[in-house]
Formats: sequence, C-alpha cells, structure tokens
Amino acid sequence: MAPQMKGLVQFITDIRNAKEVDDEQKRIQTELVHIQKQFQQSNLSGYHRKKYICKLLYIYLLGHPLDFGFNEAIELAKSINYSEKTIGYLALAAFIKGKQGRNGDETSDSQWQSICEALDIDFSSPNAEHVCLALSSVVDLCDYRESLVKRYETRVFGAMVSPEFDFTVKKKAALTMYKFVRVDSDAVSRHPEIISRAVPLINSESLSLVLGAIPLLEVCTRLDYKACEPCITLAINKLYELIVEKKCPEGYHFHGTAAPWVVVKLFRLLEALVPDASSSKDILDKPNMNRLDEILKVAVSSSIECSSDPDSSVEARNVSGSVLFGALSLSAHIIIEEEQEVVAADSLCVLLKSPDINTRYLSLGTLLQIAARNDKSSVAAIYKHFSLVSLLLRDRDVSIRRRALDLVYMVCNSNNIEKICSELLKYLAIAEFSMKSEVAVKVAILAENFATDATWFVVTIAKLLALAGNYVEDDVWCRMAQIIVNNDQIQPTACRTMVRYLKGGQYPESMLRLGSFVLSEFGQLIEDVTPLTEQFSLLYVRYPQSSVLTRAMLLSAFFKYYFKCEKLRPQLKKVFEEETNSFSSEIQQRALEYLALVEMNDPAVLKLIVVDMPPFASKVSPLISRLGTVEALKQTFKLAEPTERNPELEEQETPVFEKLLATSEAKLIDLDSGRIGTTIATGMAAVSRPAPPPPRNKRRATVNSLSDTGTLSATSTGSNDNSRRSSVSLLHYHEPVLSPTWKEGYYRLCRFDQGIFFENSLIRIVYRLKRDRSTLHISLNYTNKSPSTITGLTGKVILPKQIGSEYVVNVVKHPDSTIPEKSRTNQLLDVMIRSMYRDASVPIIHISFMSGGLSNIKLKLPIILFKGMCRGAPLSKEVFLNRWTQIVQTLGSKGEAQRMIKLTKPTTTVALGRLITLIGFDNLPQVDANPYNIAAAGILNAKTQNFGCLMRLELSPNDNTLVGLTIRCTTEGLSDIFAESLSDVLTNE
Amino acid sequence: MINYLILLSRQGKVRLCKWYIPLSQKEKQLVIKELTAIIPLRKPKMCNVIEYKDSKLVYKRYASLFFVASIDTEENELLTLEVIQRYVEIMDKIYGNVCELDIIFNFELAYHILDELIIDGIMQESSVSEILKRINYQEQMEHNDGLQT
Repeated sequence: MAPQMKGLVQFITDIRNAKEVDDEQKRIQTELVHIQKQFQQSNLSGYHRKKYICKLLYIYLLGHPLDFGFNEAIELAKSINYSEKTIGYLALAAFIKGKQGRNGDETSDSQWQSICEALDIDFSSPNAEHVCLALSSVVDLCDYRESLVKRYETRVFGAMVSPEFDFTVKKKAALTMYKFVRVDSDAVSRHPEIISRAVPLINSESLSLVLGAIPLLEVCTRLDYKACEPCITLAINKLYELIVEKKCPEGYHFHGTAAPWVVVKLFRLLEALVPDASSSKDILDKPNMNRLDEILKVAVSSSIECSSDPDSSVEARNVSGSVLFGALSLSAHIIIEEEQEVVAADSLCVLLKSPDINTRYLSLGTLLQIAARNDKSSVAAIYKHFSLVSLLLRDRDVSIRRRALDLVYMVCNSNNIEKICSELLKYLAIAEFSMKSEVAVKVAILAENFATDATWFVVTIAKLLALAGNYVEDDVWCRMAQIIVNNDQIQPTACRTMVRYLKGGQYPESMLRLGSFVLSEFGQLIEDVTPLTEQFSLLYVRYPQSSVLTRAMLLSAFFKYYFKCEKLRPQLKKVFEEETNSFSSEIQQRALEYLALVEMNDPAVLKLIVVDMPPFASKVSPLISRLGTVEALKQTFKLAEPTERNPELEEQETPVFEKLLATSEAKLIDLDSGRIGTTIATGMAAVSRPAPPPPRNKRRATVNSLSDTGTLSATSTGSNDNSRRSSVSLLHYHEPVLSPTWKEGYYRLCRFDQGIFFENSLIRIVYRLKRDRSTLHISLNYTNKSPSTITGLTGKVILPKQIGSEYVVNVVKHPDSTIPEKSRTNQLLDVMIRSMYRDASVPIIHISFMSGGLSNIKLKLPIILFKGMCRGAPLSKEVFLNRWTQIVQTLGSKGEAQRMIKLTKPTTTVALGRLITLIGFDNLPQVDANPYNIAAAGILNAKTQNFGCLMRLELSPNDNTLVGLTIRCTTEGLSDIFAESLSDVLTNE
Repeated sequence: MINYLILLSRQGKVRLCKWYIPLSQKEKQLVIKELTAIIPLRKPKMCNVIEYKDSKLVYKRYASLFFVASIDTEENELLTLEVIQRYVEIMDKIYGNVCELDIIFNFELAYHILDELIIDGIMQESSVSEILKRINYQEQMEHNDGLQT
C-alpha cells in the first residue's frame, strides 16, 4: 500500500478519540481554520495541498458542510503528480455543487473554466492513466454541467475507437459516452458514427470492453433502433460462446459462472432490441431464434442445477440465480409460445424451495411479474404450486410473506377462489398483527370479484370479520353491507349468518356493526326462524360494552326495530329515554331525536324516515385503493403487455355481484336525493367512518388518475413506436452506398455460380450458389486474411424498398462473429423466387467487422433472375421455331424484347455460347446453322409458376463487339427484364 | 444502475459514500439518515433486498460494516450483491484482510478501488485480477511521484 500521510492519520485518530459530539465538532473547526490558513499560503507544496484536501474529504464524509477547498481541489487536479491528481479529481466529484445547491453556492463559470483546463490537459496526455482519470472525472461532473458533453464528446469518442489505447481506456470511454448520451441524447445525432463503432465492441475479445459497451448500446437502441440492429446477432453469438460453448477467458469466471455480468447485461440488451413478443418473430430470424432458444435452455438448466445444489456457496448461488432471472425475464419477453412461459413459471416455483432467502424473494418477484401478465396458462402453472406459495406465507422474512400474499392474490380466479380464500383465512388466524389487515382486504376483494356462489360469499366475509374483525378497516364490512343491500337473494342468508355469529357470543365489534345494519334492514325476512324480538335481544346484549360508534349504530338499528315490531316498542322507548342521559353527546343527541320521533307517534312520518335503503352505486370497491403494490404492478404490466382475454372466460368470471350492481343501477335513485328520505341511512353514514359509499367525486378522481397514468404510458409507448417507424422509413429511403469495388464480384457471380465475391487485404469472401428450382441456396465463406482476429462480423441483408414479395430471403446461418487469424466462417442464405423482378431490385449485403479499425462493406447480391433458370428438355429445331412464332402470336410485341448490344471487348460465338450456358440456358446449335448465331432455351422457375424463355443471339460478322439479341418469353414483361439483364452482364465484363 | 453506494458502520456512521446521481447535500444527508434507521436494524436472517421509495436497496453486512447499494428497479439485485462482494474481495486482497479501520484510515484508496470497479453506477470491470493489476500499477505511479518529490 502507498505510504500514508501522517497528518491525516493523526487527524482521523483525533476524531475517533473524540468522546462527545462537541469534541469532534471542536477538533474539526480548529482543523478547518488551520487548513484555510494554509491554503492562503502562496508556496504550499503539492504534498501538503493533497493532505489538506484529504482532510477536507474526511470531514465531508462525516457529513459536515464545507465552504471552501473547491479551488484547491481543481489546483490539485492540475498537478503533474499522479497521486495528487487522483485526490484532486476525487475531491472535485465530492465537492461539486449543482444548481440544486444553496443560493449563490453554485460552482461558478470561472471554476468550470478551470476544471476544463485540467480535463483538457489530461485528455491530451500521452499517459493512458491520465486519460482514464479525465474520463471518470468528466462522468462525475457532466451531470452538473451539460455543456461538458459537447466539449468532450469528440475526444471521448476518439478514446473509444483509438487503436493506441488498450481496452481499459476504451471501456471507460464507452461508459463515459453512455453517460454523455444520457445527459444529452443529441450527442448521437451529432456523431452517428458512435453507434456504428460501438456495435462491434459487443463481440470484442476483451470481456471488460464488452461489459463497458453494452450500456451505451442499450441507450442507443432507443435512439436509433435500425443502427443497433446488428447487435442482435452479435449479442446472441457472444452469449452462445459464453453459455453453450463455455468459452470464457481466465479471470472472468465468478464462482463457477462464466462472466455473469456480461451475460445478464446481454440478456437485457436483447430485451431492449426486441420490443415485445409480437415482434420477436420478425426481428429474430430462424437461426438466431434457435440459438437463443438453446442459450436460454442451457442457462436456465445449469443455473437451476447450481441454485438447488446445497453444496454451492452463497456467491455461486447468487450469480447463477441472477443469470437465471435474467434468462427467464428474457424468455418471458420474447417467446410467444405459452409453453415457454409455463416452463419459466415452473422453474421459478422450484426455486421457491431454495434454502437461500434472496432466491426465494426474487423468485416471488419474477413470478409476480409473470402473474401480472394475466394469461391463463402461466397463472395456472403458478397455481399448480400453490401449496409451495402458501408455505411461504409462513416464511421467516416478512418481505417474503408479503410477496407470497401478493402472488396468492394474483393467481386467484373464479375456479380456485374457494380454496384460496379458505387458505388465506387459515393464514389470517396465525398472521402477525401488521399483516392481518392486508390479508383481510385481499380476501374481501377476491371474494367479491370471483365469488360464484352467493351463500359462500356471505359466509366467507362473515368468517373474515369473525377472524380479523378488529384488524380490518371499516371499508370491509361497509362494502359487504353495500353488496347485501344491492342483492335481494342473499339478504336472508346474510341475516341467518349474522344471527349465527351473534349467538356464538365471541365476535369482534365490526361483526356487531354489520349485524346491526343487516338485521335491522332485512331482519323481517327471517322472522319465521328468528323472531324480531330475539334479533333485538342478540344486538342489545352487547350494547352496554360497545364503543360509542357502535352504540350509535345500534341506536339507529333499534329505531328501525321500533318501526317494524310493535312488541318491542315499550322496551325500545325505555332504551331511548335512558340514553338521553348518556355521557356521550353523540348518543345523547341520537337518543333525543329518536325519542322525539317516537313520541310524535305519527306512522306516516315514521314510514317516511325508515324507507328501504336505496341500492349503492359504487361498482368499484373502495378496497381496491388499499391494495397498494399489487394493483400498481398489475397496471404497469397490463399496459406493457395487453393480453387479449378470452371473452368466454370473462363472461364466466364475471362475479354474480358485479352483474347485479350493474342492473340495479337502472332503478337507482340518485344517492344524494335518496339521502333526504333516509335519515337513518344518512345517520349511519355520518357516524361510521369512512362512510359507505365513499364520496363519489373522490372515487372518480382515483379512477381517473389511474386511467390518466394509463394513457400517459400508452402515449409514450406510442411515440416510441412512431420514432421507430420513422427511423425504419428513413433507412428505406436512404439507399446504402455500395463499396467502390462491388462491380467486380457482382458481375463475376452473375456469370458464374461460384467464385470470389470480394477480397481486400483483410478478408476474402467466396460465394457459392446452388440452384434448386425456385430456391437459391447461397453460401458466403469469409476468410480472415489479416494478421489479427476479426471481431464483430455481421452480414446483414438489406432489401431495396421497392421489393414486395417478388423474392424472399431467409438467413439460414449467421457467420461467427469472430474469425481467428487464417480461419474462416460461413453464412448461409436461402432465396426463394416468387415472381419476376429487375436486376435493380436485388438485395444488398452489408458486411461489417472490426480488424484494427471498423470495416463496412456493402455489396449487391448477384441473385439476378437468370439464377432461377434451368435447362428444359433439349428442343428440336421444329419445336423451337414453332414456339418462337407461337409466343408472338399470343402475346404480340409484349412477349418479345430486342436489343443491340455494344460490347467493350471483342468476343466469339463460342464465348457467347458458354456464357449463355453458364447463366442457365440450353444452347441449341441444331436450331441455327449460321455460325454467328446462337439459339437457346430455358425455363424460369418461380414459386408460383414456370415460364419458358427462348433466345437468339446474333454476333455481327463484321464487328465482333456487336451483338443482336432477341428474347421471347411466355409471359409479359419477362423478356424485357432478361434483355436488360443480359446486356448488363455482357457489357460489364 | 447503482444510484449510490454507502458503507455504514453498525452504529450508523458513514465510512464511505459515493453518489452516482446528482443530489444536493441536503438530500444526501436525508438519505443517509433514513438508511441508518433501516439497515442496521435488519436481522441477519432477513433477505438482502428491500424496496425503498422507488428504488431497491441491496445490502450486505461484512463484520461491523454494512455495504448498502441503492439500485433502480431494472437492475438485477443478486448481481448487485455480487458487485459488493467483488468490492470486498478486492479490498481484502489490496489491504490484506481488510477491516473497518483500514477503510477509515485509507478511505482514498477505497475510493480508488471503487472507481476501478464502478463508473457512473455501472460495473465497469468484473475481473479481480484486472483491477488488482491496475491498482498496483497506480500505486507504482504514486510511488514514482514520491521519488520525484
């Protein structure tokens, strides 16, 4: 270790020895004064300045504010001494104050000027360490001053691509560039080359550099998707290397897992590159999809193996777990097949058994995400492991219990509601205090949402109240009251249930409240079983021990009984009279008012007051707002992943009560005017807090705010789509500029079916074509000729914008991204010809790789229409001539094309004949005896239809560079295309 | 990404802090105050991840020190835990059996190591040997500085 500064050690020791806060404060104050004095000296040595800045840093670390030292830190950063420089930059990053600092405390322009001087020097330093310091420092500082991005972006880019620097500088530069792009995204539009140079870094040999480049590419994906697209193949190849081939450099293994950080980040990059499952089929071609599938399978299986191995260390389990979660998240993101999702859910459920607490916690988190997508099969898959999840309700860690509860809530539907609720009620009995209310709310909502049997619903909620009545919010029983009011058929059951619980004796007050309301409203329905007098005595027996709120409600209930049951009247009157002396003003007031009404003894008035409760209008349960995280989670995921729900299922799942609430709306009296008529109801509403139903406006507000966030994110994704679309169209209008030497290989391979397609000092590309009727199998063989490894190789086929479905290109195999010295790799393409097209419409292949610098090669693929030709059965002279005339008879001039072609070099009939054979025609010497003439025939195989083609070539006997060409084809337009194509091939020898 | 990394003693004293998001001094103090109220009270058998405001806290205790990292919701929790583990492993190699006192008295070295591991809240180097190589090289440079002056 470097030698320590004695003064600093002493100072730290002093502070540590300070017994009281005051002592520490005093020591720091003296030191500050001392340092300030020292800083005023003009001849302060670098060493001392460093020491004092260190002391200031320590003081700052302890949480004391600093008023000076910033200028000295800048001074220190300018030192030529490396150790002073590092401390200087460290202090700069710590002491910097942005706009959010106290007024007038912002770092001044002259200070920034000075900082930039220091950075300028270090960026131009030949010493790589100094450049590294400048890079890390500018990252820390640019948050506070955006203009640093513009000032240094070119230099940072230079450091990222310069061959002079090793990967340490490059990776830091890539990360600095990432920061720059986040601070000022225009940096990419100012320097589009940032992306093209960053892409091949993914495939760099140095994993450090790969790690550094990924964040930059991830952010660029959002800015210019098309430019980042080649990353897909490169990232998949790198992952394949690391995970399937298990090729990982020494030093990058972490507890048995190959480069977990690189792997997880590449997974995430792929998630960014494939926006969602629906587009994954378009974006990932077959070979990539297959490879990715293999990668994910291997990653998942080996991670599960390690995670569930009891002998592996905590670290090993952690890293393999992180790879697993990354892989599962990616596969859930891209793979549309439901099976895959089920597999993911299954494997996560296995992890719930893990002895490692973090693994359990995170598995639950990922399962929650899967469940939030709400598609049937994966929810069902999770539900299969319900016993495991419910076991976690009894986990030691409360955060795990919470997540398990959320998950139980999420997987609930009308099929399993009864089981889930009974499990939750069982849990409620043992759950600790802080969880009881959460469980109760969830049971209440689930029961309301999914109940298929009204009796079951009433019984469940009553049980819930009995078990957790003291812990649940009033909302729970208020909601129950609303539902009972709105549903005639459950009212008798509700009354009977209430009576049963009240008879049991042991019940919480909320049960009594609900009981008092339900029985006083609907008690007459069960009169034959439990007379009103008995109902009353059940309620009255608990009256004296009840709270003021409950007593107030009971009084209202008693008033309703007064109206309903004459037998009870004397007793009730006595109760009201007694309560006029109550200590509680609320009770006293009520008793007085009820007594006055009773004494008026006017049946008409009584009847007016005790009208039936009108149905409640709130269809949304107020409990929903108490769900917290679960609902938020559901919202976000539903927006991100709109799943089409099966309407049949929906119908089946619509709870009985929802329908009833909907129908009762028609006969709904406006709630506000309804209140005037029902003093009792208003009375109850006024007393019981929070009142059922909650104020309408408030509720509407919450619903609105929910949908507001919904539209907000919806529009933002929409605009994303737009930007992506526009970038796509930009690319299409922008014809790629071909490499200057493209012609040589193109025309060579228009004539021949194999040969050298491209060659320079770094790479040789050999092209081979196999004709298979309408399908063309193409193989491109890349050989590394350079003295070093080629990395980041991609070969991307770009279709011209005018092409529709004339032909289809499928990538069968991508080239390896890396070609070691003197080695080769191949790429396989299949082209299917569906109908005719002109030569101008052939696709372009964009080959990009790193070898020293970045190379971009753009070549036209020579898949001209002639490549779909094959020789038919040899034609006799008669047949040839017969068809020759036939075509013109049926198609007229549209079946024929004629050209005079002026060649650049003299030729012979033999050479022409050979060429015709090469491109796919059958040379028919027997047709024309003239030695200067050639007759040929062939068949063009397209996917849908075959076309016959006949051709005559006449070399001028006087000028051996002049050729007359006549082509006749069995369909309109084709002869034109062929004539043009052939003259193009002939004139470009 | 990592929003900030704070080393807290069991008594709730800050031993090191590095901020990767721009916060004012006041906000920083508030975060520290809240963390000291949450982290040291966690029981050893509890999981190492807590949801905190709109971020996640990942922490691990090594002897008397808590290493606390705040990460955004997209970041992988287990890997962050292993970033912390890497940090400790490297310090252990450089300090030689690192303890809280080493970090207190040599906090600037702890910062240097951290800066080689994380840049802008993002892991920049996962190879321990690579970081050791760099720290040793830098120490050599500092040593040379000493000779010059």
